[in-house]
Amino acid sequence: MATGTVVDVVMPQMGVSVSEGTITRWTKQVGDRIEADETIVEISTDKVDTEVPSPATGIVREILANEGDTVPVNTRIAVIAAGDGAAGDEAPAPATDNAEETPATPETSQTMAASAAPAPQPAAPTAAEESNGDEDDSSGRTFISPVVARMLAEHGLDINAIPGTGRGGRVTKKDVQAFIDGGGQAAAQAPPVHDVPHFAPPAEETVVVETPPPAPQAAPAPAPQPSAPAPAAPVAAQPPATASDGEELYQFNTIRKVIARHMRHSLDTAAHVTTVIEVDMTGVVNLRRKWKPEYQKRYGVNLTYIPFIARATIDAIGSWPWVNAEVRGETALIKRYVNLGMAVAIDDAKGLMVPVIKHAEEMNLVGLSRAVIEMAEKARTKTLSPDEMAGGTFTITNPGVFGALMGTPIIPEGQVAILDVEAIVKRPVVVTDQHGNDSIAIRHMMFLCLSYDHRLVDGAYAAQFMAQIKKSLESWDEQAFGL
Amino acid sequence: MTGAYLYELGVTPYGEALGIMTELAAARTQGAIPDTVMLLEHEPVITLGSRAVRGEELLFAAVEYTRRGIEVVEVNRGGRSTYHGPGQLVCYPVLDLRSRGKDLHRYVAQLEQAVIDTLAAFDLEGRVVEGDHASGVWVGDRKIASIGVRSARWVTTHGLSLNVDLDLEVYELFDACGLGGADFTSVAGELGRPIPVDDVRPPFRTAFENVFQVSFDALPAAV
Repeated sequence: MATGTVVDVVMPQMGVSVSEGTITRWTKQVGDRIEADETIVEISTDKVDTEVPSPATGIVREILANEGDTVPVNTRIAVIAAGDGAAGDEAPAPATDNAEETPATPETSQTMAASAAPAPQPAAPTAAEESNGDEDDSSGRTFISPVVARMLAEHGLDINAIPGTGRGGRVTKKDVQAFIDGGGQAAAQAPPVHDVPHFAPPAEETVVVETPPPAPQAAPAPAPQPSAPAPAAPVAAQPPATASDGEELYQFNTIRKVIARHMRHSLDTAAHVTTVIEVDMTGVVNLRRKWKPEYQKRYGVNLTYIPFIARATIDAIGSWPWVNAEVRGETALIKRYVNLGMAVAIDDAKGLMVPVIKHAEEMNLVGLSRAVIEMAEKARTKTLSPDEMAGGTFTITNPGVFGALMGTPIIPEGQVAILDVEAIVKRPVVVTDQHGNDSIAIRHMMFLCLSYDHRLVDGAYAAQFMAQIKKSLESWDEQAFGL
Repeated sequence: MTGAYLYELGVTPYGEALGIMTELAAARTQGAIPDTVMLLEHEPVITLGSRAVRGEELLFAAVEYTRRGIEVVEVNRGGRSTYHGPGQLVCYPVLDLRSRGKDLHRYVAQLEQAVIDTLAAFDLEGRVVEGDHASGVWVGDRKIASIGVRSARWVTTHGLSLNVDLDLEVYELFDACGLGGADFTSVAGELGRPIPVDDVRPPFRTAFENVFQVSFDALPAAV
């Protein structure tokens, strides 16, 4: 593509006393076409949200700040390759090439899909969705707008099967709708091609119940189905469901699709085992009660149990590092740092995100408390950057807040263990005093459940790892971990 | 002093007012109308701004609010959560800030000043509190007015709400503004007597005209 003028998009000055702004949402992604004055990004300060219009018409070439980032006024946040004439016409040209090839390839795309689809598994759940699209402008790929990308993903369509009427043969939203309305669902038999970018940011996924696609009469034959690999496209490989009375149709949104794919893949790969240990949390419960006001006052953080458990776990990882590793074929990468994944329920518990606290081993209780709160808030408000969800080495999940007592969690891909924190409940237990006398006492008890990959970690190793967590929690060392 | 339209409405459902505001903003952006200010009351609604954390600020399941006749709506304005309902004066100025110095913070400060001047007409002393999520006007340490603003191409939408006379218990149903149980108050609460919203409209109109240097005309029906 011809190198036209390059225009910078900068963080605008929103007032004389305003020195910085926070990126709320990119409405365009790298590779998207944008008109001058069309909104490219939404920014916010404490008090005001603002849409920032594009200074030029062209293609978004670079995005230099993530959603959630706060940057000073006049910082370059994006670059647009301006092209009203030459460059603009040239850019979409590859799309035309693709379109011309389409008639020859529909069968190919169906049969190829089986081998093509399972290959690229994004490392982190949402990295794929928020990826800025690394494709080189000149790679000859079709430019796809976020709306189109989402429609393609939701209906499991192959863009190459859809005739484009947009500029340079580009496939527009209207084209996709026309294709769907025209019974084009036949193509939905093919799993989505792997290079359909999942541009749609999760924030746009709030509307999940869509009109059911037309009934699958057009589906040519059930034949391709058995050959379609389930893990690759659990949604698209099935014929579209229709809801009857008393039923409701739920189209998987992007987050759901990513969760489905990763959970299935992890179960297909790791040899899951779960070990449970019971911990007497009475000491921690009392400490938390004691420190909570102090934490609120001095640090402004709400002290929960999670930082205690995280701190004890990270400490135990130091002695039992194999639970903090990654299996690659017949080698294991043992990590000396702990990037702690925190499973966070979002969308009224209809979705899950796993932000990662980097180098959690360097943090004390205050640091962990802050990080946990910050990450949970970012997850719920869907302002996590891809980077903040990548690189986890060990994960903690906490269904205990909802009263759950035991669970067998699935290990996140690229890790070998996940710790499930369960509810703290008062139970009568037998306690033995220093003289060996038994008595029954009311104690705050909690189960910890560790799922681990038996390819690397054996039961005895896991049990000792957990025993050390138990010991730390039951005899909290204020000096070592404390306030 | 420039001219501006004033569009006064009574108790209006949130969605309906939002629709009018959006149309006015589109017209203002195209230069089809001058600055226009909406003044109204809402039917009971909790709105969640872009900085609201739904799970933390809504203390009950959605159905509980429905049961109490309160709508819950997510909106694309700045700020966190707030409540609107009868007994509260709501003002949505649709202004083009390009002719007003392109300064959003100055604009927010002017909104605060308009409220402070309105309160002064009732011998109440409003003040602004510095800090995150604290935009609005306070009387003592009780919040009396909330502000949440959006701008696109320097045209403003959303605005402010001033508690005139309403049952403040509603603020216990959610963590308003994410302030963690800050006290809310109203003009009636501060004066210790009931007061209709319509009694607050005239001093607010005057205060707004003075602060923003505009003179209001009623919005012609044709727009």
